[in-house]
Amino acid sequence: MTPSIRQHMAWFHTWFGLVIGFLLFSVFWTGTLTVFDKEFDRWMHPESRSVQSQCCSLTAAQLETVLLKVHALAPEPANIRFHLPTARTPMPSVRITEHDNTLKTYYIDPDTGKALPGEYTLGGTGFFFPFHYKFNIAWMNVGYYMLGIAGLAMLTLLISGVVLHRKLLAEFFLFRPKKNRARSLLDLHNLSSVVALPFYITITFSGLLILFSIYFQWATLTAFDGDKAASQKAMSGFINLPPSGFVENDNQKLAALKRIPAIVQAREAAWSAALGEHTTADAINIRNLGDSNALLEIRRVFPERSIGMSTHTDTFLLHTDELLHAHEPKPIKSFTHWITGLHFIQFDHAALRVLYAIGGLLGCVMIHTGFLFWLESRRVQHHTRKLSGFAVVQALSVGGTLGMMIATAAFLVANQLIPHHVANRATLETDVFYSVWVLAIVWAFINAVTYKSKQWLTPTWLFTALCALAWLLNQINTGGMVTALRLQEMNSFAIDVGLLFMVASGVYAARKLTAPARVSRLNKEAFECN
Amino acid sequence: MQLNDWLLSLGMALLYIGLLCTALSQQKHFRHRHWAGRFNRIGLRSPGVRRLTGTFALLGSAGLMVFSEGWGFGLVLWLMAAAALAALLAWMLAHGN
Repeated sequence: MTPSIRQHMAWFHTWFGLVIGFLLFSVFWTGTLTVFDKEFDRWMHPESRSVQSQCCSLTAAQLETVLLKVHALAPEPANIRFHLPTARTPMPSVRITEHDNTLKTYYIDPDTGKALPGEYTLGGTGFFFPFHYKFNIAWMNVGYYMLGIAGLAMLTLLISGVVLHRKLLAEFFLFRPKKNRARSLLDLHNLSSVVALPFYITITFSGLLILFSIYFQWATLTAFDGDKAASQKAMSGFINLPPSGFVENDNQKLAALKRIPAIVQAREAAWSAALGEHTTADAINIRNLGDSNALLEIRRVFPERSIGMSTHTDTFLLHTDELLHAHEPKPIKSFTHWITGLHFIQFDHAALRVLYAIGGLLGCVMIHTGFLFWLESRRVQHHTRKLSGFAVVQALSVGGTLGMMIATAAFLVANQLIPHHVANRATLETDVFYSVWVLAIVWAFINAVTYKSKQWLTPTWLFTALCALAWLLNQINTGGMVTALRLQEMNSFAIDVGLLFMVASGVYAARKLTAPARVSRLNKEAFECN
Repeated sequence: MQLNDWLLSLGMALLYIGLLCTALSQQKHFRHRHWAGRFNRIGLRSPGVRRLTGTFALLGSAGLMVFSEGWGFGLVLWLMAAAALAALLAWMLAHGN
C-alpha cells in the first residue's frame, strides 16, 4: 500500500524538523531578543542610556557639535554614518569607516560633544542582530545561506504541519496538560504553532525577501542589464561618485560640515510639506569627506508611526550643496519596504513590539516542544532496543535550545562583570557566549551518554540563576530599575523586566520538571534511565 | 489615557471575549466547568450562537483596532494580539476543565 500524502508529510515534518530545528531555534531566539536590540544596547552600555537635554531631536547647533566632534575623531574618514537620536537611542550614534576599512563606533553627547566608544560592547545590535540573520558567520556569505536554507525549511515545515494537523480549527484552543506527557507536548506544539501561524509565515517570508538580493543577485541586475550602480540608484537611491582626486583642505571640510544642519532642516521641511505631516531624517551618511566629490546622503529609514521603511533618500554633492538625487521608492518597492518593515520592527509602537516578542517566544516553544515530543514518543522504544539516537537527540536538544539560552544569560552576566578598562572587552563578552554554549552542548552529551538524570532540570536552574544574577548585577552596578524609573529611562527598565520574566518562567519550568511525572508502568523504567 | 488608548483597550477586551466565545463553541470546551454555566445564563447556549457572537466580537475588535491605529498597525496588532491571547486562553481553559 502506498503511503498517503499525510504520511509523507509526517515523515518530512518529523525528520526535517529534527535536523533543521536547532538552526531555527537559534534564529527564533535571537530574533526575539533582537525585537529589543536597542534596549539591550542601553542595558549593556549604561553610559549611552540618556542625555542631559531633551530626548530625540537635535537642534542645528547640537548637530554641528556632533559633526565637528566626528571630524576631530577621524579627520580623513572614508565613510561616516550617523543615526540621529530616538527614544530608544537617546545619543546620536556614529560609525566611522577608515580608508583601510577599519570601523569605529561612537555615541556622542550632543550637548557636551563627549564621545563614548561603541567598542565597549557589541550589545543587541552588534551581536544578537547579526546572529539572527547570519549566525555571525561572515565568510563567503555562508551565514546568509544557512539562514536561507533554514527559512525555506521553516516554510515547508509550516505547510507540512498544516497538512498533518487534521483538526486544525476544531482543536484550535486545545491543550491537555493532565494527559500523558507525549500528548501534552503534542498539544503544546500544535497550540504554539497554530495560534501564531500567520505570524510565522509572514516573518519567515519577509525574512527571505529581505535577503533576496543576496541569494539571487542576478535577478535584480538582469533588469538593469548588469549595471549595479543603476540598480542601486533605482532600488534604494544609493549613489556613489568616484573620488575626483581634488583634496579639500581642513577649512573647506569644516565649512562643509557646518552647512549640513541647514541642509538637513531644509530637506525635512520639504518632506513635511510633501507629506502634510511632521517628518524627520533619522540617518545621515557622508562619503569621501576629504574629496571634492564628497557625498551627503540624508535618509528617513524608520519613520516613527509607520510600518513601511526607507521612505526618503536624498543625495547631495557636499561641497556645492547640489541635490543630485531625491529618491522616493516606486509603489512596488514601497510595498516591499512595508513587508520588510514588518520584519525589522523598528516602528515606534511598544505594545506591538511586545506582541512580536511573545510571537517569537511562541516560536521557540513550538520548536522546543517539537523536539520534546520526538523524544517522548520514542523514549520507550529506544530504551527497549538500546538505540543511541535518543541520547544524541536529547543532548542536541538540551545544548541547542537551553544551551543557547544559558549562553545568552552568561553573555549578559559577562557584560556586567568584565571591568571597563579591559582590552577587547566586547570580544571577551562574545567569547563567553560561545564558550558557555559549547560547554553546555558538551555537558549535555556527557550527561546523555552516561544516562544521568536531571538532563533538563540542571540547565533550567542554571539559566534561571544566570538571569537572576544578570538582573542583580545591573541593580548593583547602575541602580537598575529604581534609577531607570527615576530617570524615565524605559529602555534598560524593559530588559530588567524581561529578565525577571525569564526568572519567573525558569522557576515555573523547574517546578514542573521536579513534579512527579504521570507515567505508565510500562515506560517508568525508561524515564528513570534518562 | 487618550481616546485611542481607550479604543485599543476596548478592542483587546472584545478580542478576548470573541476568542472565548469561539473556544466555548467548540466541542472540547463546550461544557467548560467555569465558563459554560455563565455563558448559558446570558443566553449563549448553543454552539451556533456562541460562534456567531464570537465572530461579531472578533470583527468588532478588528474594527476598533483599525480605527484607533490605522489599517497597517491595526491589522498587524489584531493578528499578534489574537495569537498571544489565544495561547493565554488555551492555557486558562485547560486549567479549568
